[in-house]
Amino acid sequence: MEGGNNGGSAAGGGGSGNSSSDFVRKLYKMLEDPNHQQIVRWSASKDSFVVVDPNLFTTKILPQHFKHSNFASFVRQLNKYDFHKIKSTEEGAPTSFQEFRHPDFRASSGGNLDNIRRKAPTSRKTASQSEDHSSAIEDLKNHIINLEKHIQRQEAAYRELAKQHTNLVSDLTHVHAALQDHARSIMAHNHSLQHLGSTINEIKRGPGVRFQDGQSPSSSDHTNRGQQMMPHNSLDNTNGNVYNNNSPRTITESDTFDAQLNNDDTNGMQNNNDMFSTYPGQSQLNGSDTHPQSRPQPGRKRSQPSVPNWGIRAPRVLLVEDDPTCRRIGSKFLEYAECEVDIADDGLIAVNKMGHHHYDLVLMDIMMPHLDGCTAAQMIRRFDDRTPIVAMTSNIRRDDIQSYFANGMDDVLPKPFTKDGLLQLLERVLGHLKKDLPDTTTTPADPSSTPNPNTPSNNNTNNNPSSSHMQHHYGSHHPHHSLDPANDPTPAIAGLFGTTQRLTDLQNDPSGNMDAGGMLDEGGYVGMMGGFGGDGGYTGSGGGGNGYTQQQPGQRRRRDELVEEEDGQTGWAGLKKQRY
Amino acid sequence: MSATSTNANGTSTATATATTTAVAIPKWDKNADMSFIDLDTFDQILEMDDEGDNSFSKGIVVGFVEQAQQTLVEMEKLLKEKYLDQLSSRGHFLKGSSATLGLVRIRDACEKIQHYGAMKDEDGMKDLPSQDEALDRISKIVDQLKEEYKTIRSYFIYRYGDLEEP
Repeated sequence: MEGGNNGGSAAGGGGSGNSSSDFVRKLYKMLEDPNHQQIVRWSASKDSFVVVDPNLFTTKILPQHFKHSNFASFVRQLNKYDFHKIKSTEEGAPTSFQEFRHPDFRASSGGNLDNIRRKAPTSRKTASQSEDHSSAIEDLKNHIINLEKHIQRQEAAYRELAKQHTNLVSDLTHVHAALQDHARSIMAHNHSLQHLGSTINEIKRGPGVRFQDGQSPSSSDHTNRGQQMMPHNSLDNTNGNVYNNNSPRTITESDTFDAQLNNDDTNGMQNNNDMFSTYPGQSQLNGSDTHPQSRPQPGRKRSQPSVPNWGIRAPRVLLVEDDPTCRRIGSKFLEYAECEVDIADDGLIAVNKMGHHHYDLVLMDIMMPHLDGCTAAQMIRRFDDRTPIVAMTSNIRRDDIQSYFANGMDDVLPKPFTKDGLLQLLERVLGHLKKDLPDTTTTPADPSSTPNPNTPSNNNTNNNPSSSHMQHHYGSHHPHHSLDPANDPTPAIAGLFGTTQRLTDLQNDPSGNMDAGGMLDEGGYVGMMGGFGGDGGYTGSGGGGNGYTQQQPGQRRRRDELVEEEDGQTGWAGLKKQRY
Repeated sequence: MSATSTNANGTSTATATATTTAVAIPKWDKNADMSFIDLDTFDQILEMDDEGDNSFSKGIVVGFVEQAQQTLVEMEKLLKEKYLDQLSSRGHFLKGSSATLGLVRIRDACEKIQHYGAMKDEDGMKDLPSQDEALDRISKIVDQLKEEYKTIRSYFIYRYGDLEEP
């Protein structure tokens, strides 16, 4: 019977094997087993089964039939197959009994097992939910990973921005500092310009006194003025006036120079009541040349190149140098070269002197207290566009030299300068003042055929140089003919308003300190300035009306023309600016 | 730093230097090493003297020796106060005049001080690591300068008899 049952069960299971569940068949088989009636069995009504002892069931039966020992899991499995836990149908059953029932699950009803299936919808739903969960978790994980990457990118971008911010702030600080420096230097310049302006006004108001009473201002007067300016400029107080007291002044330039200016100006200017009617070249022709044609020659041997043979008069050189030793040697060399030397101890004094006197050449040290050479040259160029300014310096790297040119200087004399270097420079820069200049100058009435002064020939064959100059200057007296500006040895009028360029500069001066006071209102006046000052190239627009304007456009080369050096002698090829 | 304040603060040092140098200056040895001076450059100054009258070149030399001594005193003071930029400026200053006289060793030393004071190496190219390094280097060069000062003083005394202003 039991065996038959078992066999029937097995057969039934086999017969319906394809459709009945493993779990259900195992369950049925377990209940048919008589060995553990005390643990699990059919209920009395045979339509449900009872787990008598859940503990033993869990530890003994489950491992045997279901290969696990989890009672809760067994119950969940029952639920899936639509078994329901029911209240025990047996009287007096202890509460530990657990009874389960399925409508089709009965003792000896193996054929019905096929009807016991997993609750399809529920189970399917559960599975999909778990799938959903895992995919959602996957999604979340990906999302988190993406977020983390995003944050990393943001952090990198932030760091980059912070760095840029720091750089910008530091740049801004530098710009701010530079602006402040700039403002300070503008202030310093304004002080100097104010002084220059007042000086100019002073000269304008009292030219009669200055030019007619025969008393020229003493050179010490100028020196004092320069020193008075110093406190206004706090550019560098550290060096003080250490060298002002013992600086040797080789030449009292103003005396001789002003004396020249005092000379009779009746030649060619009779109908002109303006105070600037004099220019220095005239007086020399009147036989009042205070400069000897030649000086006593030193008794020593001459090294090449030789001292230039200056023309009508010796060139006037302003030596700007703070170092007393360099000053003494420099001025001695210049005297040896038969130049007249004036000294300025620093840039400020130099600017001041340039406002008072005419020089043919400025030798400018670069590193100086109070006002350095570059700034001084810049300031001088505000009112004097023509006097050559040569940087004297030991800093002769290419960018240094370029900065000298950028500040309006024209050439460089490397330090420590030698006699030969100086003579070569004088030849280069002041060649137009030499006596033996080639006489290619035609009559003044034909200004178009002026020689190119950049190429003074050493093979000069002119046998009568002085007469050519006489002729030249004589022609310049004629008010209707402009002097050739390039060859004019005395280009500026009284070292001040030599050019209309200056006037324009002064009038346009943004500082407002320069008062050119109506000088340009009289067009004819400017024209005459040009004519007599020998600066015809600049006077075109200002002249007119009185016939005095004689333009010579293009004759004078502007300082800003960069000319490739031809001879390469000085080694500044490509950098040197020429102005004549 | 004005001349006045330098004198006021540096009087004792100046006196000491003057005294020691006066004592320590040895008589010039005719066979001594002449590499401290470039005679071509110096001869240019001698050429400027009138015949039989060396007062021009002597005046230049005396002026320079005074200037060098004063600058040395200032440099020692600036070293103590660690004013690097001022040291650089002093170096530049003495460099110019020593170069003009052909005193090449003094010129070179001064150029180094100029660079060190600007926190650069002796060629003026690379930055120095620290101010202390710069001050240390300048201090050594100033010591060299003192020796050079004695040398030129001795030489010029030999050459001109004395170093009184002509």
